[in-house]
Formats: sequence, structure tokens, C-alpha cells
Amino acid sequence: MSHTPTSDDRSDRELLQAHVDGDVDAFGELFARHRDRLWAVALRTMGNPEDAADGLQDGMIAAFRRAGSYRGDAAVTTWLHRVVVNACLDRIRAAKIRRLEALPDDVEDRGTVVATAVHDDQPEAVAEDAERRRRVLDALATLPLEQRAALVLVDMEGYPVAEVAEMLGCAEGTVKSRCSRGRTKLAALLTDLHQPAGDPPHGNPPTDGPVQPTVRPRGPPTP
Amino acid sequence: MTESSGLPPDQEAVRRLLADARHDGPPPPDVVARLDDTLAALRAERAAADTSPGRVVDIGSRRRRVAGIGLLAAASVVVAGVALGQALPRGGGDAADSSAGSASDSSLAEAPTSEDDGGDSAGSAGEGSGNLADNEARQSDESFLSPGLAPGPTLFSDDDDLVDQLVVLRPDATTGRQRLTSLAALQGCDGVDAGRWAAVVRAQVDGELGLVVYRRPLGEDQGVELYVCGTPDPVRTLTLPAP
Repeated sequence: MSHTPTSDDRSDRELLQAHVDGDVDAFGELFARHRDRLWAVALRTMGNPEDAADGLQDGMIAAFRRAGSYRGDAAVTTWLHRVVVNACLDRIRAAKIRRLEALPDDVEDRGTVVATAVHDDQPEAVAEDAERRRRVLDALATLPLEQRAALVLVDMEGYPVAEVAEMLGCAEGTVKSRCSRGRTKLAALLTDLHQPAGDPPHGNPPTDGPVQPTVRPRGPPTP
Repeated sequence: MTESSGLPPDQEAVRRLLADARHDGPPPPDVVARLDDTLAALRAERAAADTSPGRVVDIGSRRRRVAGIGLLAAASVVVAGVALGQALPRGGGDAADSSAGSASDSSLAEAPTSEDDGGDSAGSAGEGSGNLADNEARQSDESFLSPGLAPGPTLFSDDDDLVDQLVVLRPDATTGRQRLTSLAALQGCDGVDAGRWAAVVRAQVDGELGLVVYRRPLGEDQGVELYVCGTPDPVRTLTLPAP
């Protein structure tokens, strides 16, 4: 699988059929084509690299063994995503990881390193980016499982709602609803990150000097 | 990324934050190596078994083999049933037990109808609809021998309504009959460790002979695993609301 996934001109569907027919290399080629994106989905769904590796491995095993049950009514990549996402969700459910469980403090998020590499000469910007991403991911981890999975696929990975509905095995309206409810919760958790400049958030206004008392200070207690 | 789609400002802002937090890049090398090792093991397993996923389509021969296994298992279960029957409390006469078992099997037999939804697609979907009558007839015969030997429902681990199907199938694991049924279901299905406390239902899982293992409920949840016989790892693990 570590080979470059461009050495085979066959389509995804042809590769899957070849695997079903006994081609020993076809599945590795197919999975390698989509591995990076499947990894991204697993990583963001599970919340940490260790669990993501477990989920992706489970999904790969399931896809390898169940290739014969592929019905051909969706794109192969949609089917692969569905199998991997199901594997991840199953793992989370089985492990009783609940929505309020925070990400481990020592999460090594390689995605952050890659995405912020453009700021190598701006350490402050790198730190701000990393902090913002950490807060977004922490907030994401607090969402109910179904909302999290929908947002990872729609908002993070950019898949169309219709395709995500096939991946998650639910109606398009359900995907939209899960995304909407998830975003609403995240908006409340990340208010300070998404308030546009010049539009101060609700709450205490910024201070330009010492806070002025609104009532007369209390004197010493009377005897 | 998705285009801006007229979302309210707060939701659009969150969408952008999420898009910015997406992961780019390949898995780390240790994960790639692990996947490579796993894939190599799968290939070896496949070569050793000398079966390709394509043969899953050959349901006829598989079912004949399964029926053979079932008949062999029937003999051993009858022996086990006689032995265990001395130790288990009796909830009623033999006739009552038989009718209860048949009722349970009937409920199992209803599950494959959900596969009719995908009846126009290739591969596994066709086997579900095309053999329904035959399946029910054989279930009836084998239920007469022993409730644990019925071929059970046809399940697919990626079915949308799998949870609902499993709730319908869920047995009462506290009865002596279910213990016998679980014991029978485990016969001829190597490689699956159901543990000490579990209710086991025999099933066709993804076109293969398999088991559904209902774990002991914990609090409000009950873990359920779908196995393909000969494979120690479940093909699907789910959590149901506790009965």
C-alpha cells in the first residue's frame, strides 16, 4: 500500500471487482488511492491519531472482507468512506467515548504541522493557528457522535450533502439537520473565534483604562 | 471545500473554522506501516483459505456446506441438550419449549425482508431476495431439529437499519432455552469467543455463516457484535439500548 497509487489505470470500480475476482494487488491499489482522505476523516472523527489508526485499520479490514457485498449503487469512494466511518463510530461507541470527553493533552496533530507550515517565518501566527485549530477540535469533540461525523464530512472534507447521506446511511435532511445543530453548538463554544473584527462579542466591552465604578465604594463596616 | 451556501453568519463562520481545521496530508509512517502489515496479513489469510470474496456470490454451495455443518452440529446439540436439560430449571413442558423456540425462529426469519430494498443491485443483495422462500422452508425444517441450528436471519453489517433488526432479534439471554440456543449457535463456528455471558444468535452475516453476540447489558447500553465464523474480530460492533 505504501506504493504510489498512480501505477494502475483501472477505475475504482474495476479495482474493486478485480479484488473480488482474486487479484491480490487490486485492493491495496484502491485503498492507497483514498487512504489520505480516509485518514483525515478517521482522524477528525476519532479525535486523536491512535484511535484514528485503529478505526482506519478496522475499516480497511472490513472493506477487504466485504468487497463482495458492494452493491454498486454508490461510488466506490463513497462506499469506502461509509465503511471507515462506520468502523470509527463503532469504535467510539464500543469504547464509551462520550461527547464531553476531551482530547488528550498530548495529541500530536500532524495536520496542524502541515497546514501551518506556510507560517514558518511567523512564529506568532503559527501559534495562533495552532491554538485556534486546537480549540475547534476540542469543541468538535464535545458534539454528539452523529453531528461530529456529519460536520467532519460536510464542512471539513467538503463532500456534498447527498454523498454524505449515503456515507452515513441517512436522509439528506438528517445530514443537514445534524450539521446545523452541530454548528450552532460550536458557534456558542467558539464565539470569540468567529466574531468579525469591529463587531465586539456580547459580554464585557473592551476596556481602555481602569474600570470605572458604577456605585460608590463601600466604606468600612460600622461598629 | 464547500461553497458559501447562504448559511446564517454564525454557521458560515463555524463552517470556515472547521474547513481551516481539516487535516491534510498522509497518515504518519507508523500508521502506513501498520496498514501495510494488516493488508499483507489479509492477503495471506485469503490465500490460506483459498477463497476469494467473489465466491461469496456462490451462495448455493456455501449453504449446502452450512446445512452439512448444521446437521453435524444438530447431533452434538441434541446430546448437549439432554445433558444440560438435567441441570437447567424447567419452565414448562417440552411442547411449550418447542413452541417458544419456533416463535423465536419465526421472528428471526422476518429480518431478511429488509434486504429487498436493494434487490436490484449486484452481489449480496440478490441472494437475500432470491432465496427467501427457500430459506424459510429450511428454517422450518431445522427448527424442528433444534432452535439453535436454524440458519438465522440474513444480516449485512452496513445496513442502515441494522440496529432495528438487532433489537428485533434480541433474545432473552436469561432463559435456559437461550443458553442452549447459544451453545448450539456456537457449534460449527470456530474462531468466535462469545465469552461467559452472552446470548448468541446464528445468522448469515455479509453472506457468510456468522453469529450475532449480545453482550451483558451495562447500564443503559448493550454491546452487540457481528461475527463471520472463522474470524476472531467482529465485522461490526454496535451499542443497543439495554432491554
